[in-house]
Formats: sequence, C-alpha cells, structure tokens
Amino acid sequence: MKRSVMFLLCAALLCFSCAAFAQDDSQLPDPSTLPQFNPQPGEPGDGGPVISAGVVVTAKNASANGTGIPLWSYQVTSPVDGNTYTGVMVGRSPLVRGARTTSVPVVIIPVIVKAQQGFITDPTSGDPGCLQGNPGNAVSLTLQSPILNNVNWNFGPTFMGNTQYPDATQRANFWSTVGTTNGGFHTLLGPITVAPTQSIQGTVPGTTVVPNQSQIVAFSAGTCGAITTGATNRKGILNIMDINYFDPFAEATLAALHVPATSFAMFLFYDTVMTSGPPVVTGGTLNPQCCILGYHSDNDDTSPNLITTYGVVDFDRGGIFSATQDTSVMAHEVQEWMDDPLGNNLTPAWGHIGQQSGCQNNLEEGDPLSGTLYPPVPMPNGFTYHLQDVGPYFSWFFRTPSTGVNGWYDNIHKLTTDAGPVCH
Amino acid sequence: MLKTFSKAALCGLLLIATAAMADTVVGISGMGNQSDAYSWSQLGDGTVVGSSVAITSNTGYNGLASFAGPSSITIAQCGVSNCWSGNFNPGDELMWTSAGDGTANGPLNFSLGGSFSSVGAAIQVDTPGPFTATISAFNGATFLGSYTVTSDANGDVVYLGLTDLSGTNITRAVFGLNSCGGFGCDTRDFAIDQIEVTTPEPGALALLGSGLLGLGGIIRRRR
Repeated sequence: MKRSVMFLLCAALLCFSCAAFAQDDSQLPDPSTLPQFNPQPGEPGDGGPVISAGVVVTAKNASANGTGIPLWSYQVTSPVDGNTYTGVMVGRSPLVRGARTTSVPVVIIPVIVKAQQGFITDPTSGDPGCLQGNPGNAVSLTLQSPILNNVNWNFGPTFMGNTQYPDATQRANFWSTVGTTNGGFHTLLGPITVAPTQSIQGTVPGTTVVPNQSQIVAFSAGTCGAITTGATNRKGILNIMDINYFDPFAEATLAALHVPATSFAMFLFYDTVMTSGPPVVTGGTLNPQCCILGYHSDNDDTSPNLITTYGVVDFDRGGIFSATQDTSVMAHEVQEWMDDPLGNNLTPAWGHIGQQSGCQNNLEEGDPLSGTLYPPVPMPNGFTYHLQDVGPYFSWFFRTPSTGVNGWYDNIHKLTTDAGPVCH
Repeated sequence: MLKTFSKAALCGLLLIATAAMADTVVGISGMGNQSDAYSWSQLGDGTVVGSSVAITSNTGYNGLASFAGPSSITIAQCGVSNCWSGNFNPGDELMWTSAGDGTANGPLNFSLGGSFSSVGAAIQVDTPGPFTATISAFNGATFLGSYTVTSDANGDVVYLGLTDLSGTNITRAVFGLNSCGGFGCDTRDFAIDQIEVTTPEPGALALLGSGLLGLGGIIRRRR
C-alpha cells in the first residue's frame, strides 16, 4: 500500500511537471533579477543520513544470498586510539589471497529539476557552451566517462590497469595485497542502464520564491554557456534544491522504477546542488547549509528488508565551486559508496582537511580531498573529464601502515602522512 | 583340536591386521618419492568448472574431484601468478574452491581412480590467518585414517598428506579445513595444489609379497 501511494505521488508530480514545464518563455523572470549565488569559503560538501547498525546485518545477509549488492567485511585495530573498527565495502575483499572481480550493475536516473522561478536544469539536454563544445549532454557524457569506461591508469610509477576510475582507485587503495595478484582484483561498475528521466519541482504555487518554503530556487551563478533564451540549461543559472525535499522523492522513485537491490542507483542532476533545508531562508538569504553537491545513501527507511544503495550527483558546469567540474562529484560519491556503502563505517576522528573544517569519524573517502582534482582525463569522445583525487586510502583513516600503491595515501600523492592524531 | 587352534589363530591374525590398518596410516610433510600427480593445469588457467570435474594423472589414472557444494556453484582454477597471493611455489596451478563470487565449496573429495600408498597436496586458506587442515584417506567407502596439520599464524601453505604403511589401499582422499582464524574466514574457502600420490617401490612390493608368502607357509605347516 505504501508503495502504491508513493507511485501515485510520483506520477502526480510527473504530470504536474509536464504542464508546468510547458511554461511560456515570457513568464520567466530576467535572470539578472535572481538572487546572486556566492560560494562560501571552503570546499563544497556532501551529506547523507546516518544509518543504523541493523541495516548492516540486513545488507550483509542480502549480499550473502545474492539479493543485494556484494559486500565484504573488514576489521582493523587503529594504533592511534587502540580501538577495533569493523565495516563493509562493496565488492569482494582485497585482503584475502584469491583474487576477485565483482561487477555491480548501475542504474542512472536522470533528474530534470525545475526551480520556483521556472528555470530548468536538464541532464538530458545539451549545453555545448559549458560542455567543451560537445554536442552531448550530462547523461551521454556520464556514460562515456572514465568512471564507467576503461582507461590506462598510472598512479605515479605504478600501472593500475586498464579499467574504470573507481576500480583503479580501489586497487590502489589495497595495492599491498592486490598488487601481487597481477590484475586479478577488480570492483567494476556494470552493466550500465539509464532509467526513464524523472522530473521534480517544488510544491509552492507561482513563480515567486517564498523564503523557508520554496524547495527549489534558481540562483544567478557562473558564466559559462551560450543558451540565453528559454528555461532549460540557461546561461548563468544554478538551481538549488532542499535535500530533505529531494531524498523522499529519490526513494519513491527507486520503488516506482523497481530498481533492484543488487544495483547501485545514481541520480544525475545537471548544475543543481542542494541545501539542508529550503534554499532561501528568512531575510531572503541563502541557507547557510548550502551547498551539497552530492550524497550517497540507501532506502532502509522505506525498504528495510531489501536495501538499495544510491548516489545523487551533480554533473557540474564548472566555474562556480572550486575544483569542481563535470564528473568530479560523481567520482567523489561513487568512491564513497564503494568504501562506505551504508554510511556507517566508523574511523578514529580526523578533520581540518578538504570539506571538513571540523572533525569527522567515518570512512567517507571523498571528503578529505574535496577540492583536489586528479589530472584531466581526455576520452575518445573529445571531452576532457575532471575527476576528484579520491582517497585518502583506507590506511590514512586508521593510521595503519599504508596499504596503498607506492606507499601513498591518495591517487596523486597529495597527502604525505596519515590523518595524524585523533581530531578534537 | 589342532585344526580348531589353527583357524582361531588365522582369525586372530586377520583381526590384528585390520586393527593395524588404521594404525599404519601416518601423516607426511611432503611427497619425497612422488610417483604420480593430478595437475590442475590440464583444465586450463582460469577455467570455471562445475561441482565435480574429471582429472587425469600424469600416468593415466582417471581421477574425479568433487566439492561439498553448494552443488550449483562453480569452481575456479587458477595459476598462482594471476589469481592467488599466497605462498605456493611460483607458477603452480591451483584449484581454488571459489569462483571469486563470494561463495566457497570445500572440502575437496578426490577419487584417485587407482590404489596408492600415499596421497597429499599443499593447501592454504583464502583469508590470511592460522588454520588447521585435515586429510582423510579411504579405500572405497572404508575409512583408513586421517591426519591434521596446523599452519603458522600467517596461514602459510602447509603440506597435507598421509601414507598407508600397510600397502596400496588408498583410493580416495578428502581435503578440508577444520578451522581458520582470519577475520571473516571460511573453512570452505581454500586453494590446493596438485594432488600427489605414490605407489610402493618395486623392491618394497617384492618384500611385501615375500612376507605374505612366508605367512602362508607358516599356516600350512601348522595344519
């Protein structure tokens, strides 16, 4: 019954969107009148709900009987605090002797986002002015990206294989053990399917932004682009959406689309970021909880017995957030999902690095190096991709001797030491 | 009276021989005088096989390897160089009781297709950490004896083998793990090197034969 209600809600939203998206161009406000977005100091972040321990048991059981994504468990004692930590990661263990190749199907769910003022960001629509002149769109460029396609990776002097970026990173993460099996260990994404495009808009009527109520608001931000008419992928427009409005939509969509729990679902935005709470708050100012460029989570609250993990990522035009462009957010979230799929792999506290100005105590491998890019990766489609230097590796968090390639802690050797003393 | 005693003595000898059969199975730490072997390399590196697979020894014995299951699960055969990061001899071809999909299928039940006096193989658990392994020898369905080996703390390769000192009675052997100590380890998940066997040397066979003839002569004289 609950699932049926969700499906109807989703269908109603879609129908409403169809009517609203046909809005006449003349009804759109002058972009210069939109609130101006100015990124805050520091690195853009991600977020997600805290998961209960029971979810791990459910997910591990599903992994064992083949109804969920494959998971492996680890246990490590950290010398920095003497505590023993356990957790799960996606795939099969790189710490055992037999080499494994695991493939996890991926379902990409494009999401068209319509702001209160009528401006639309659409990952299925082109934007050559922001996409290096490429005729494709965020969806097609994602499908052709090095995150989902094989590339020769050399991390320093070591060849990591002809593989996908997340797999190369995971191999590098545990190179001290997988390096001896000469290419036998892989954690791959595939096959890849693209689900029907979804659309979302807020529930506040009209085109006037209502502080504390409008869930999606268009801001003036960025300079790239050549589209100066119409509502879609308009030059200089950034949509900002309340994550608490989107997440229930995401989980309802997973149910409506019957995305299998054996897959990783990836919601794909185009130039859309999120806030924790309505984007515009009292006084007409931007919510200080901006900006979340992506997150990963699972649907344990709506499907406690069969958990589907998912990620939400912005395919970013670039030029707004530091060191953030096209697939850099995706690289961040996919790696975090791979190494902390349920969001509760605890670590000794670390911090004062990347997007974390304070302290954090989980194995979110994208966070400490938010704002640091791997060297650009040109692909056969003519597009040059930007990927985050994901890591640090496992041993950085637990302050154990490096298990990483070349004795490193990340893909480009930006970090030369582990996380250091417990963060306070 | 004498006949009755002779029959009783013969029965007694037979009983003693039966009891001695179990006592004569002893563990060995290597196959120094290996005369034959069933090499996994004949299956092809990286081959995934079913729950049982036929395998021929170097001299033509038709062996059959079968696994405890789940029976629908495949078995991967791989070379040390690209699949297993343990410490078998470089280049050895191994049978790994998993297809790398998270399932494990040990123990290994190996029918030799002939009778041998010794059987053994090197074995190693998948998850690093100490383990104990046991080999059990059979003649058909008859249990002959078993031998258990404990690894070091790292779970380095151990040799798991035994010899039946009473003769070429071993037609089947079961290789498996009893316990393992690595985090998340599975006793059904291990790799095993080629199965090695020996038959008695011709000289030893002649000695055994002459001994049996002598025993027959003693019994005849007492009649």
